[in-house]
Amino acid sequence: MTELRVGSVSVPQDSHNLLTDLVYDKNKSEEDRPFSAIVEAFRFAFALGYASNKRGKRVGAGITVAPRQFVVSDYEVLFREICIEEDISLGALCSDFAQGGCEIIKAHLERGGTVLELL
Amino acid sequence: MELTYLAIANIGPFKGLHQFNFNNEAGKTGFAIFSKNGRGKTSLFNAMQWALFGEVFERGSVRSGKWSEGRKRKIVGDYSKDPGPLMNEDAYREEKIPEMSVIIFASKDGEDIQISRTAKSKVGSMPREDEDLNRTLTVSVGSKAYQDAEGQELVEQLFPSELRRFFFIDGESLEEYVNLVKAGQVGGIKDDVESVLRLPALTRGITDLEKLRHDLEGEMASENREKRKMKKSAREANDIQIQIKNLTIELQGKERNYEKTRKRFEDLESELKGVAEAVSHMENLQKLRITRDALKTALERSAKARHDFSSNAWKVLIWNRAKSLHKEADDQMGNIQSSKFRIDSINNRIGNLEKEISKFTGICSHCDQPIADAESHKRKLNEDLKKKKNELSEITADSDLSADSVIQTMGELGKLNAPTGSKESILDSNKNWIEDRRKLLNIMELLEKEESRGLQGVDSEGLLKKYENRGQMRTTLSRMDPIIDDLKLKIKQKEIDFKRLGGGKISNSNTSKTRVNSTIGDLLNVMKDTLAKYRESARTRVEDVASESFRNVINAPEALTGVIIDENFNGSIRGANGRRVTMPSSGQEMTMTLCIMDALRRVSNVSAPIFFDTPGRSLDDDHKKAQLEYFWKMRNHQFIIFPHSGEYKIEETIEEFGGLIGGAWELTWPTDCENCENCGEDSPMKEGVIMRCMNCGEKWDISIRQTTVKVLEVES
Repeated sequence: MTELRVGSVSVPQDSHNLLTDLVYDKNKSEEDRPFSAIVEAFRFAFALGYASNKRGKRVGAGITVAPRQFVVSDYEVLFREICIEEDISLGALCSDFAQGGCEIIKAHLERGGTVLELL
Repeated sequence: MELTYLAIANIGPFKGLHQFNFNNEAGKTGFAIFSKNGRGKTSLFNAMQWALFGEVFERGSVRSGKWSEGRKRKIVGDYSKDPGPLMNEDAYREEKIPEMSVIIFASKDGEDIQISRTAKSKVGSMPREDEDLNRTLTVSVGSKAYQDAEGQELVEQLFPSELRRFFFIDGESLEEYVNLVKAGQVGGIKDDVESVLRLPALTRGITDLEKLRHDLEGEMASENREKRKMKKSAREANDIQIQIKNLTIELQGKERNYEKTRKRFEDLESELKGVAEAVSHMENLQKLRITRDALKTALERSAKARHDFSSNAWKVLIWNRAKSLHKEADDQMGNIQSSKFRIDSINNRIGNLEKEISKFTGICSHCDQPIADAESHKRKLNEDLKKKKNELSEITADSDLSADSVIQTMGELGKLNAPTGSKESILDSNKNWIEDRRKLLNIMELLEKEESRGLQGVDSEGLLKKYENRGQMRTTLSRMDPIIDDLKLKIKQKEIDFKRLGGGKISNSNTSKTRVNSTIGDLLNVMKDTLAKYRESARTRVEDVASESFRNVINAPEALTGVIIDENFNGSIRGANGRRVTMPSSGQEMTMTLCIMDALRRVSNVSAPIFFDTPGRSLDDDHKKAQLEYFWKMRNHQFIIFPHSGEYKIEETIEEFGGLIGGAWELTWPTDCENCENCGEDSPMKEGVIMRCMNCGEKWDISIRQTTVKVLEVES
């Protein structure tokens, strides 16, 4: 039986930019920036991808999310079987779901919606 | 004053009128009234006090080093008490209008004096209280008569009541007085010395002045307190005055500023009136900007709230999907629990079957009867056991999940669940933010339009500045108004406080009182000095006179040379060595006391008869004789003794002192008569309560308790 691998978490540059624009700035109250930090925005995108069962395809160099802030083992209970089955690391699977989430967010914002309406 | 005649009626045991004549041609001053106990000696003694002073007291005593009179005796009242009322009981009960009276006839400096005092019922028979009596006093001097208060004043001059106890000496109270005179008693005879010197008036004067001074000092202290208060008030008033001044300066400054600002505001207003359209534009701009700023603030608040709530947004999303996994695990847990229960139950059954098979004997364990088909029964048990073991292995094979791993899964999944209501809170906060943003964007659009409108020929920037200035001035003026009002109110309150504190004025009212107080102080010092000098002079005089008397009366004048009255007015006997005798006998002490009393009386310069009830009490025969010899020899001082038969024997006394006695009487009751009053026969016959003379047949009732006065014959 294949061992479960942890791996690292990352998103492509454009998704990272998207997530950065969702971080709260008290001087930009009129902009849609509901999250307190980029990791919060990442976690939201990951959860959105998982809930919608949408995995995105990451193209180009990825920007790593700090493992201390997003602990992939917290989600082992959800993904252990998939990871073993597909032989991918937990980090990679989380990153795929986050990318999927980013794509949903981007599309929704382009339609004039707000991020939290995606709940 | 010399007593010449005495008449008493209905007093004590004396019913009706009884008379005593103190006149004697030889000018002898000794008198004696003999009797057994209860025959009226003390009543007679009291009768004279009552005639002179209008009141009689029970026996006095020394309390806290001071002589105190006993309670005042009533004239009528309860006769069952001891001592009873003064009025004769039979007269009180029998007479229709009871009356008690005493008349004293006397002479002074060749003038006749008559003192007549009467108490007569004004309510008929048996008056219950002294208030039911009419009490009158008539004092005649020569041909002039004085009634009641005026008469009493005259008696007081002849016989000062405060010296009463030196003239009316009660032998039974004498021991008390001895104690007062002896060392160790507080104050000793100081009060008596003051009395004989008539110093009480001076003492009272000192007391009155001290009281006056005390009151005055009290007033001054109160005024001083008031003055201190006023000084404090004055200081406070000055502080307030300074505060008023400062507040007024501040108010004037504020009013000047207010006036200046108001003027500039009015100028600006009139200037802005000329460009009304531009002003309207500026006002719109101003309003929109204010609204924009307010909406910005609101949006900041809602953005912050949204950001606070959104921290759980990811959990909401995860849980949308993970909750089914959680449910699945929960179901698995249910199955595991159920399997475990079944396994326990089967294991239990297997255990029982194995036990039953191993102990099988063919006898029923319940009823102890042989089992009909034992072999068949045992076979059935073995089959059941096999079946249960198969069932157990099937169940065990099915449940490959452990309860612990399922619990762990459920725990980890549970961590991904958002708190209840998170989704609603996040969506609500998002809606609020959207709404606030919409409002802000609308206003910003309007503002942009208004800003782009502009006005031709108008210096918008300059106008805006002026407009802003006007707004600021209006705000400044509206802020200054309450400040000025507050200052005015403060000044008003301070002015009221200033007035309340009397405007800081201080009065000087007690300067004259200080002068009066000082004068009283000087006067008091003079009076106290005088009193001290008088007292000292009197002390030495009383000591000298008492020593002279003592040497005459005492039976050992060589050993006991006189009386010492020390600076504390305590009396003692002086020995031959000039020192105080340490252990005198009670008779010597009694004699010393009598001599001090005699000295006090002589120093007082009051000339009046001396009445001595039970004079021989506590004295031995030698002293008793010496006492009579000395006192009865005194010229100008009548000395009337009231001895009972145990003190001085009548015959012996008359025989021995007949040359000094001016008059003697015996008070008797009928039962005392051993000889017939009619014929002088000395062997009367007693028949019940009647005595009958065997010689002349005269009869008398011995049950009667009425006193008869018998004049005794003395040497003329």
